[in-house]
Amino acid sequence: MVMSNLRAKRIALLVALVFALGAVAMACAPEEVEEDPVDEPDDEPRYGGTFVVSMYSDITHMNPFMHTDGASNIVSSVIHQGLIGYRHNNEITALLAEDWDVSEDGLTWTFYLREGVKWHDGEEFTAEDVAYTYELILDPETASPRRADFTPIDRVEVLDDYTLEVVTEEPYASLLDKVGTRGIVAKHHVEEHGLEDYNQHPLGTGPFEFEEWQPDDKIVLSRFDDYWEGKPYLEELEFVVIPEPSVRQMAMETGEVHFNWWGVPDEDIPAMQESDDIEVLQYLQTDFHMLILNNNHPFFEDYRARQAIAHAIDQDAIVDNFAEHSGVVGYGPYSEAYGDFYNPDVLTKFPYDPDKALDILGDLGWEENDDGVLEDEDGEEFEFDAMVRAGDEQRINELVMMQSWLRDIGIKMNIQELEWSLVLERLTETREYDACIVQFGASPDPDHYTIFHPEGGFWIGQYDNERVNELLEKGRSVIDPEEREVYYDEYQEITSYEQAVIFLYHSQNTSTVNQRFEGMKDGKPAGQMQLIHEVWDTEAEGE
Amino acid sequence: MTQFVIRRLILSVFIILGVSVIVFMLMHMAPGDPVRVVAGLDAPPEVVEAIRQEWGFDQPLYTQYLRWLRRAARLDFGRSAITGETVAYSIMSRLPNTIKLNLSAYAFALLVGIPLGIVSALKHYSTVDYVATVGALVGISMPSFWLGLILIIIFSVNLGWLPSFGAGTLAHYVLPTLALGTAQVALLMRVSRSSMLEVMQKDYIRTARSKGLGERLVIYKHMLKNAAIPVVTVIGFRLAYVVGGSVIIETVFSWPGIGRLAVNSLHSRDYFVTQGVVFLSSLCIVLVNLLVDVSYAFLDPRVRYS
Repeated sequence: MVMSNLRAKRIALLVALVFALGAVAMACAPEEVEEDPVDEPDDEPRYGGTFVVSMYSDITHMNPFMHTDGASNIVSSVIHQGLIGYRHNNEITALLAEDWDVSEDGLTWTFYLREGVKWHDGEEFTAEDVAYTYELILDPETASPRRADFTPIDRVEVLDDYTLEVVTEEPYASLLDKVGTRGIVAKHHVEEHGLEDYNQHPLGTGPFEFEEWQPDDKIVLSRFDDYWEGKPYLEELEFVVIPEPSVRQMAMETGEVHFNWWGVPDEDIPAMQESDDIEVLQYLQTDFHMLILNNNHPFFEDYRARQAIAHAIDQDAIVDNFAEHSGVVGYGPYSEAYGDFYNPDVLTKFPYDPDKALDILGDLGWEENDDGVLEDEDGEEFEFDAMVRAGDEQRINELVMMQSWLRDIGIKMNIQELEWSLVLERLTETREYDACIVQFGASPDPDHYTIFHPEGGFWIGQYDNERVNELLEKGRSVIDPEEREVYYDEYQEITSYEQAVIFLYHSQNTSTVNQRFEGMKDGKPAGQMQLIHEVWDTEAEGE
Repeated sequence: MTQFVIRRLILSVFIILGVSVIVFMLMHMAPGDPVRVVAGLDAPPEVVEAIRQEWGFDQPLYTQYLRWLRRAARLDFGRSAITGETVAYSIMSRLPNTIKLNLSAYAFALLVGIPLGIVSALKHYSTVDYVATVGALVGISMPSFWLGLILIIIFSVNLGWLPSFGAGTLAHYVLPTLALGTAQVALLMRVSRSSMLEVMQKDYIRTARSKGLGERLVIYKHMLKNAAIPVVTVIGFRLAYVVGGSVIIETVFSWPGIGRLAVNSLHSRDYFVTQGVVFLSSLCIVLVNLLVDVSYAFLDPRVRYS
């Protein structure tokens, strides 16, 4: 069986430890301190304490509308808040907007803002701030990567300090998701300091305020006493950058880090689950792992060819080997985390069946030649390159496994390890490639226009199906969720049947938290840090 | 001498300029695009275009290079496309960490490696020599990331004495210094040992001894100074790396240094940051080489620059 590099490394480490230094280390190890066996009942939450969160990379932007990476999103969303947020089970929760309604024609959204919300500098939050933020994002000079989320907006009108009207040109169903969740910045603050060095002085309405940022090292936030949901329990929040996964794990074990956000390798999950001090939190993401086949490539133009590839790949084996503790086999673009929009009944499964794959390819004119490779009528061999991000061990190993299945049916797949920026360029700019293995994390709104529509930026695999395009257009322009469901059901049905991409699996976000902290343990989809103000340290001194 | 230094300094300007042109061209000729890294997988073309214009990446290459050069002449190295921070800030917020760690490892290597090399040369084929030689072999063969992880397992996880990640307090320096310095200790030990052994065979040492000079004086005055040239070359060469940063050690120990910045900027095609880091390191290497050359003249009177 394929052994992942990490596991190999770990074994090598262990062997070395035992032979070379283990004896010494064990002899010197401190005696186990007798833990108080009485599990104290969870009494009143206590104030105080520092919560240390590890991240795999440094953040890029504090500014809520300048970043696209996960680390920045987590840190920025503790400082800044949007009108709404996702909390338990991806439910839309009112944050800075207390309530909202949409006009009959679906064009005018009225937001009623929360009164008495304070910025970290003590100023009052008003509708002017929201309008200012949205206008900043829409200004091309700002060069916000989020601008496209806002372009359907025609105008933003401040009715009074706490009422705001957002008018769109067409009905914009995912407005709450795309616009409402975006963090708001303070007008008076940005006007005074500008956006250029915003990273040095971010200011928001969230439960924690900015203290310092040591690039590539740590970010320190302190409690905002006047937070509108009440004074947070924790005194300090520290985000530390630990790039090496094994060190993140070790720092959890030593107790130096209390929350390892993202990046617990699948194979380490069982060991973590056994630990007494550490709890594993998992929730299904709105993502999908896939093998993209370029639909413009003559081999893959015909959806039956893609179906054949799907039959040649054993999804269950991939999950068993590489995502046993964190993956769920997937057949379409939505995971169960999409709630009502996920419809398993319309999805087509392509069970592992190499004979069937060969039959389909035979119908398409592929025949085995003397070398055991499939060949078309012109004598061209079925050979293609699959791109993968360099250093992404898990996906490289997945490709290796697929490579051998495909070889079994006479297809040559070459694995092409490329730098991420280059993978991105080929996927979205030049669009010249054969295949690519990738994971894509989407937002909990079912709108996949930017992902599968030819006018969307990603336009995965140049998949172009008229009906799907129409469904994606309708789905995003209808406000009524039940009507949207109809469109998105059909979208799932077609993309799954035609294998717009080879769907592999959905993954669970796996993080670990030190048992000593209460309030993190429910597993909050789409932003565990959204409830950070409720987290408390059972060993805190209290205040 | 002064003339030599001035000539070398003028030459250095051209070397650095040459390096900057080559790096700039290579970075831009290599496929990959920072704008996509910033904008994300599903960004629509108009957003990508707006960002590209904002950063000036839509201009012809020579325009971009000349603009960079004009600004660099005023010590403005531009801003990172990924974070929007100035390149100067990106570098200066990490450079002190790298220099401090490297100096610490450097000092460790000098203080342990050279004396060890001298002692094992003076007592060659003794137990001390064998232990030191084998130790050096082990030290030089151990991959630093492996040593680093082992050190963390022993001293942080099992013993709980030292922090497993980060920078800041003195305790944070111990493990990375050991991991980074061990190979250098081994290298210096071997160089100084072999250099000493060679000098010990020389006629002038025999002469010094036969004219009745005390052993101590022979060692200090005749052996060490003559054995120093290869050692200084190695030390000087290592000194250039003090600003270079080691991406492996910085990654294992979560050290916020220049090595990680350089590699991350390369991966994300963050042109200005890469350009800034390369500019800085080429400057250092040129200067250190000059220093080494000048120091030869002091160590060996036969070396003349005219």
